[in-house]
Amino acid sequence: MKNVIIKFIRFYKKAVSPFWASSPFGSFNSSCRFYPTCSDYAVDAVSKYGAGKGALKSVSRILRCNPLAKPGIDEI
Amino acid sequence: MGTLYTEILYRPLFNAVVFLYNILPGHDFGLAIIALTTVIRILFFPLSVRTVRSQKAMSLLGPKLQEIKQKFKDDKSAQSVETMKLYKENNINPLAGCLPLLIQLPILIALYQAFIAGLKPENLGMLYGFVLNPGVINKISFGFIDITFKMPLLAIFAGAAQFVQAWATKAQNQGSSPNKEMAALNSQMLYFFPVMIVVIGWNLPAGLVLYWITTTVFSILEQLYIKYRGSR
Repeated sequence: MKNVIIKFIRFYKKAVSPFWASSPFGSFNSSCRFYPTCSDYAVDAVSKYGAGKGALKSVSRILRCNPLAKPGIDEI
Repeated sequence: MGTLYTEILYRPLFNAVVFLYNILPGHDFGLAIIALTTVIRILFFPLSVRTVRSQKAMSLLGPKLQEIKQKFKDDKSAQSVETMKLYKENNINPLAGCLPLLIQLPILIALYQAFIAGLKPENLGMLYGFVLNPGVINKISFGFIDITFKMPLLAIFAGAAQFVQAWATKAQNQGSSPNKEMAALNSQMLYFFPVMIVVIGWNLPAGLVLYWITTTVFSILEQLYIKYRGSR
């Protein structure tokens, strides 16, 4: 399960996320406010905490990654 | 939830595309799709340009961020203070974040659905009172494209546009990201994605491929604008 999720996130990062550049709303691709990016963070979270807790942590990170958030370093 | 999606996203977009179909010369649904996509991209253009600029500047800062991380290993707050300082010094204003990016998804799906819906006359009942019901939608666009039918030639054209866009992105980021991962991603974008677009577009209705071509061409123009006018 853990490895499936990690594979999925890596696939998203490589194959899906570049397509944001062609979104009709403009180039919001790789516009993550944090370091590491949300996808890297999610991989770290799932490898460290497992599928359940790791996924929850990733979701909360994505919710935090909005225009109101203070950008910066935010590691798992 | 379903009705919320329909009333806030799907129905307004559907009305917008039929409205454009009504007012544009030639009553051309393909042209209406191109026009609506262009209008949306123009509305988001300022935001988009700022994002691309920040992104470019950000890719240059990777090593410096690593440095900060090493230097303040055990002090999270010092880390973020230093990062903020670095961003400020380099005029970086990270705009959107990942949440707005993902929020786009339902809007994208609604747009896609609106374009498909327009091709079926029974959906015209969804029009608002002030949008004239055209009765029947003309399926032939630009005199030779049946927008409801697949058109492989158009898919190849979309793939070519995607190639040019990836090439422009690569040229723009040249030298700015020395790390191997980015370079690999760029060459993958250059060759793999155009092929993928052709494969996906091969069996899609031509109207949707027209939408894809429009938004890709706009991305290319945006890249050119940033290259020649917007270095700062």
